[in-house]
Amino acid sequence: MRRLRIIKSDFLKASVLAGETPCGMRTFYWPMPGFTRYFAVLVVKYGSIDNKFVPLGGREPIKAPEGIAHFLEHKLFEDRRGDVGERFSVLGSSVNAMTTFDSTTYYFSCTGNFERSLRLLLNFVRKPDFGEAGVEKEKSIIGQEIMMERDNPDWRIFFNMLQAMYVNHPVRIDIAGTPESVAKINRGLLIECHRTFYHPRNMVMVVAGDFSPAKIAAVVESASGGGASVSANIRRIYPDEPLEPGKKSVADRMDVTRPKVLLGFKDRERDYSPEALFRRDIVTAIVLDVLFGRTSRLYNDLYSCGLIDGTFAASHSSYEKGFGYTAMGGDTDKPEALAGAILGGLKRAARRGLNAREFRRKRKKAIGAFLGTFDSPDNSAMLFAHFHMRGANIFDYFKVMERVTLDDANERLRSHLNEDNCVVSQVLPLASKK
Amino acid sequence: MQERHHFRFTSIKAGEGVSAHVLPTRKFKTTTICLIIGRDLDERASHAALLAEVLKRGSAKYPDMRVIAEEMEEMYGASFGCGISRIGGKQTLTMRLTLPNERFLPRRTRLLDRGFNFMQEMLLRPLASHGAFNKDVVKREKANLQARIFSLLNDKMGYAQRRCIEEMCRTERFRFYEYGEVAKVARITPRALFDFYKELLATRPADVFVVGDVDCEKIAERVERMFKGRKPGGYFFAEPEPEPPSRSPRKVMEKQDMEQAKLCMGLRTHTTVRDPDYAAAVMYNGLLGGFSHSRLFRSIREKEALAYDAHSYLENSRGLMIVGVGMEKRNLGKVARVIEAQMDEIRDGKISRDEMNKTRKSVITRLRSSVDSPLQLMHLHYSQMVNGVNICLDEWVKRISAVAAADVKALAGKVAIDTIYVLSPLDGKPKQ
Repeated sequence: MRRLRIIKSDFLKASVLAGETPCGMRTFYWPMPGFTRYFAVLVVKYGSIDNKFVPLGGREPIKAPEGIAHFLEHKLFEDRRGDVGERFSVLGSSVNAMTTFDSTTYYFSCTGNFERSLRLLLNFVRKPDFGEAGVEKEKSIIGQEIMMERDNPDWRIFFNMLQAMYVNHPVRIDIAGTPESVAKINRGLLIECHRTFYHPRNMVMVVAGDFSPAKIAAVVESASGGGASVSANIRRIYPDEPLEPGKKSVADRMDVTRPKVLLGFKDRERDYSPEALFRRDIVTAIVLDVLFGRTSRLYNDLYSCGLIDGTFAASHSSYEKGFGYTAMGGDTDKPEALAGAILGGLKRAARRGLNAREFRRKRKKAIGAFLGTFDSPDNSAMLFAHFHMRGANIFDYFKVMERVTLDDANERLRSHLNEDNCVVSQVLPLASKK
Repeated sequence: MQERHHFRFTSIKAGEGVSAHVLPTRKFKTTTICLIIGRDLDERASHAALLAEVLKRGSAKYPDMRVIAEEMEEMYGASFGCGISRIGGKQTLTMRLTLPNERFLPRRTRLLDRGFNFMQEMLLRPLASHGAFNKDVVKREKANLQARIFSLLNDKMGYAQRRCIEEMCRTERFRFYEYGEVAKVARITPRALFDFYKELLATRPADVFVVGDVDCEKIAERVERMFKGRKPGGYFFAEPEPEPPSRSPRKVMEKQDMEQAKLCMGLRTHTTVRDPDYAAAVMYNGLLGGFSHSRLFRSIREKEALAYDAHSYLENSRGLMIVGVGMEKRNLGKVARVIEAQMDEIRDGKISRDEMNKTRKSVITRLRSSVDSPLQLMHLHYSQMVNGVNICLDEWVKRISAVAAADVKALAGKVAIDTIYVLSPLDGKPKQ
């Protein structure tokens, strides 16, 4: 067996063992004594935005229908014996999956039969076994999933924002695609995408629970197959995207009880190295916390005058594939006034700079918030896997955070959270109802 | 390496109508404290819901959200919450505080004491004067609570389920929404809310749960100090209501401007957590729609491709089951027939060994998993306690394991469809 490397976190008083299977998949084993639950996650670096690429072994780029990564996630659960999920149920395990902009994640949890469940996971994700008839049937199911999301105002306001913000980048497309794009998907295309993206070198596996890492590593290595013949230099093609948002505002009407507003800020940063991304995430999170956290003057002013309620939230997401955004908003009776108050607040903050004391206190706060995240095998493994997939080690969080200065935060505030980058997305009640 | 820990709370009486439930463990990196005050759902559900929001917003010592949030940051990122929840026909007001465990902090700090002091301030010394809560806070929180109640309309499945329960339980406590009603919230004055608060503290049982690296006796003492001076009293819940007489299924239909229709079926299993055959009811729900291997998901989604989601859940204090499916409007009838056909099959005893096996294992995994989450552990214990039972996890596992197909068949014979609720897109809405 190959040797495992130890990655330690003094802060969490935890160690993770890192390995690589003969076929080239990176694996991490996180022993968590005392926990009853086992959790395993397999992340494939392939999401809704990867629909233009050069197929493995090919020369010419192809463009796959929108929503194909999500469709493939659904279909891998079908094999000739029926449904893969049922075989997890037989073991008492519960399996699920999700597709995001840049990843497809498969995971299961159980309290027994851990090794057998692990073999099952590695097997079904790596070997597509579905037929043509199942592909046709899946179109109806996904059609209903798309309709369900269209009835969800939070989903709608968010995708409207992305569509206004991005002119060309595929992040503007619904992860599940549209009924029309989904209709174009067939088995051949799905297999082509699987062959290209579900390459061991394009996947990461993390397992957590009360186990012996050496023993579990042996199971993973034997179940994950032999040597990888081709290197996984996947060529993904993304269109050029202007720095500015395509549209400054967008509004939609649906049967909601109260208007919703979401302000999105398009990220101009173009350094997508893992270090830059990791740092940008942390700096932006601190800026948002100082500006819109519960201790902030702005948040409390907006709350006291009734412009926001408990639904208000602000968050940042940056990805390595040419896009990133910060979004904030919630339910309000006066969407225009709220958007104006937020932009005004940001302008004032940019002029004055962030409060140094507040800035320092956010670090202290992060300790507890961070600790709590690692009180379950599920969260621990998920976070570790997603950070690793982007080339970062979640254990470095504190080291990176301690080095962030007030100047860094102010610089980020001024360059990113300004009106030039901003899109205002609204969902308003139907005209007939007020 | 694997050793099964026994996760049982030690319950200690800590005053009149007050109990401390402590689970010492070093497994977690945090300590979780939950203070729960329970009451029977009634016309004043809106009062309790508003009270939770008002208490959360400030106390005499921590007068606004900003000061509260600063205190949380000073406690190394502790998190505080206060809100309403429900267990069957009961409404609970819960204050929760999660603290990082002291052994992970840079300096030795007595965080647990500080946490308890904070909770005591928030619950017992609210922002009030002359027998009334602060009127600005009450006014603002009334508006927010009303908006929240309204906003249920935005979550179509959530709304459909709520309406189904309302229609089904028109004469029972169960009909009350735990967040109250818009019109009733409007009528609450700062003084009436304060009276309600005083009455709640003086008459309702309080339960304080603590999970973490703590000492039982010390926690019990601290809790006792917190509630010192409570007078002896009832501190009981009302007796369970009798079930309404059975009747043929009622159909209710509503329309909204939306894309996808929702179908909710309200079933009565006539079996609660207090009954010896409750384990069979859990298995029945598991076979019908509790999991992705269950019949509803298999038949409606995988076989007929009529829906993305099809599920059911079982409620333990009244034995109600709600089935929920989202589908194209024109397939409503088809879906309803599939659901009834599946219920018929189980009632006829057409239950495979394979589905029994999968369901049993899935239920047991879910039960066992709860010991990895402080909040789930607390919920499991409390939800049984208010129903007057105290059955440990191992015993549940044993009971589930012992359920045979014949038991499920017998249980299925008791299940009746009570209400069929449909939320449908407007007529003339263009086809999907």
